[in-house]
Amino acid sequence: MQKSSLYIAFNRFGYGATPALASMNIEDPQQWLLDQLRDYSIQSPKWTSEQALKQIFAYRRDRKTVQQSAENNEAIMSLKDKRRAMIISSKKLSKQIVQQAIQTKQPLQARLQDFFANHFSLSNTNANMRIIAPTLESEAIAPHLNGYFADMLVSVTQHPAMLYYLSNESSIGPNSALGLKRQKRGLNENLGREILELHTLGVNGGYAQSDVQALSKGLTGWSIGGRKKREALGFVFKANAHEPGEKTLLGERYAAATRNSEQQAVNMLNSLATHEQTALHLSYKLAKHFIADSPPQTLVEQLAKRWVETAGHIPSVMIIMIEHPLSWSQKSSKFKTPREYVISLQRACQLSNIKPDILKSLEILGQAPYSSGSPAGFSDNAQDWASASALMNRIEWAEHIAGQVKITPIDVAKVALGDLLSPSTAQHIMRAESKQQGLAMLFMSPEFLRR
Amino acid sequence: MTNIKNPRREFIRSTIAGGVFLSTPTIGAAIGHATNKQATDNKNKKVVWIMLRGAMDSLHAVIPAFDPDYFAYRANILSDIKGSLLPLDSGFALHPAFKHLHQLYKNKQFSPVIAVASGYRERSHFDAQDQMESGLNDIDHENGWMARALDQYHGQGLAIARTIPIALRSSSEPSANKKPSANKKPSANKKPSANKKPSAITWYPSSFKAADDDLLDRLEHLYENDQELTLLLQQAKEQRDNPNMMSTGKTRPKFTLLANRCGKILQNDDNINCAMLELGGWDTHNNQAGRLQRQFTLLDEGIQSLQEGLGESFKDTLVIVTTEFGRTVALNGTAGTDHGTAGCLFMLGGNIPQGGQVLGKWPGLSQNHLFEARDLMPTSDVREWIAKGLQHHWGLKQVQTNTIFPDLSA
Repeated sequence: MQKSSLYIAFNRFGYGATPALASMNIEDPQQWLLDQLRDYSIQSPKWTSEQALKQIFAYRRDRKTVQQSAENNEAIMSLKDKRRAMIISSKKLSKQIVQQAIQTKQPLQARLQDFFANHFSLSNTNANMRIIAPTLESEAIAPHLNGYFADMLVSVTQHPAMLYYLSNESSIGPNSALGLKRQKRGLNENLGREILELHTLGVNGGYAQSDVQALSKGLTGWSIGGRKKREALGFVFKANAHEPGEKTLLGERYAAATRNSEQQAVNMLNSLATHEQTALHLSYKLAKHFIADSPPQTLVEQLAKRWVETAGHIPSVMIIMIEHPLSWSQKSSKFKTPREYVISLQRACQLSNIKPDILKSLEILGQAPYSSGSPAGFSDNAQDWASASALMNRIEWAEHIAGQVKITPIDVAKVALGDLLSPSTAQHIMRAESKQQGLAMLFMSPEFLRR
Repeated sequence: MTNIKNPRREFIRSTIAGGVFLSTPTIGAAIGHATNKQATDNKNKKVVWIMLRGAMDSLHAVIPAFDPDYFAYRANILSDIKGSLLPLDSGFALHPAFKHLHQLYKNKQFSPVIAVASGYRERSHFDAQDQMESGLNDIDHENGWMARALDQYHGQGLAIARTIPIALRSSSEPSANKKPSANKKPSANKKPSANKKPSAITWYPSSFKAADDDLLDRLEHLYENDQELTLLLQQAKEQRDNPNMMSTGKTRPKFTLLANRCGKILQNDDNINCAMLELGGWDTHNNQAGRLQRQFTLLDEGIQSLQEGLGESFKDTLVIVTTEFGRTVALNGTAGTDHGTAGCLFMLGGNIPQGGQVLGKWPGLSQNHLFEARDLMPTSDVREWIAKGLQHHWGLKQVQTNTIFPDLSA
């Protein structure tokens, strides 16, 4: 393996170099990556779904009381404060996740986490989502990065954030006990459809409307507990909302579980997770995310083959990608997303705090967490990020942040780009009229903008 | 030659070499024995330092109109201004863009100092700026001359910037920001550190500023071999300049605005004794006549708005304008100048000694009087002039200014 592969390893598979990485004597970039395929988790998360639910439910009870009583400005104000406090707590976790990507020694896992968070994309569509969204990443995604996709899929689908986001918590089987009682409410196909279209098989994965309905029916009863004070907080299976009976998904029959009916949909998800179409869909997305907008077909096929062989074991698939020559021979053509850009910049400069802060900065650059606005997530096409106005935004932001860096520009450049630093960029950086301008030139250089 | 430990040796040599003698940096000699009484009276006296980043071409600002060698070197870029130079004493003249400064000069409130340099003798902007901010021959990024001056004066400083610049950093105290009392919309303020009074605070307008034109030009050059980025940048510039798109609505805060607010904060806040402002855009490697015309105008207007902001306080304010180094005496092949050595500094204020004179020693421009046969020879140290200024203005004693600039007393 050539020495120049080291920076491909840093940039393509991670979030760029840090001074510590740059000074380490890494002889085998592939091995450096393979060594990162270990457990990865968000260390002491600053906010959990349990805390979020507890406070959301308490808030709802308070709101009811306030609404029933006579107008009471003070009580309304205190309610608003409570809601604001919940959103602030949630942002702390959001920020913690990005901060960890800046600090981590397992940048590959941090990238994978971000990939799957975007694969199972959530958006801040309402107050509940703003309060609970980031907990999906720390609770349902990170714990499974070093394991099976099927477990991640089940975890994500049972997570309150996803149940809220795609409104499954109120989906009721028409023939369930509850469904027969309340004719007005019924089946919600939202989650079932997105699982097939986005999370597993993919839009051309060969499923029909009847499959959407079968999965959605299987998922009825998957809801959120804790509304009532005695109920356990979090995922709950409400048997009285579950559509009874056998279901057929993609031609396969799923028997009604007798005691624990939640198992029916778990079986459906498990078999979707290891389906050949899912293997292809996810392999293509992974290769597109890490390697190139139009990933080599051979690479995608080999990843998918491994996916099927290992029943969707994520690290096993990643090993194939890391060891495949095609992953290293592609040109660095991906324009960094704002998230990759900000994180790699902060890693290179060892800048733990920036002004405006990281969440605000991501918003300015067009990629605030949970703002994709679609269950499909943010685009992974370079050209969707490399627009004229985005470039100008980036110049302005980079120039601004450059004023906060105390390290000499050329030293940062050597850390950030290593042997990718072109003589022309080095010259431009050294000829800049001030440190700030030199750093802005580095941050806006072609080799720093792409990975 | 690298950093010389004793720049005075250099000055002596150049004087012997036959430089035109104008005056020596002795402003503060008479008040070297400032009493405590004077120090108390000086409590409301302000110092403003304007740092020009990128190396201003002093030879285009303070023009040695008496020197035939000068015209031999520079004739090509003087045609537009030759007829309208603003006369100073001893045959020098100001660039015509410095209208306000010239008025101050006539009021004896401004004196340019020629052929000055810091202790730095190489040609890197970054190192030279850092050294000028730290005021030491060996750069210390956490120890600036203004912070040391404030320590002697027991005062507090203000940086018109988003973070504390080196000049105002002090290794003995954590730098922390607090809200200056005089402004309504501070952007970059932290809470003051627990009990200790912070040595410096910052203020900067909250709006996110538009990109600097010079940076955009340089990026355009950097992208020369990158079609995608060239095209994007071109589109981005068009969008920005198209008034109908109003894409961002962002404007770069003008230096004049920053200077004005700086003056106002100083005027209204008795606790702030000094401030640092900066202005970039001086690295004129090509077509410098037009660029410097704009830069000089901006600086001149900035000084005027600083004065307006200061109002009554102008009479108690000393303004020092410096740049990291000068530029080559000869023009390069693109009608610009490259990194040089000696430059000039400006001293101005409501009540400065020796106002209305050109200070410093002129080393001459004949080949054997140039530094390394290309740059204006330094004949005095920037820090000596600042030290004398502080002695006079703040009533500091020489031992105190020696603490601020330890390399001067060596």
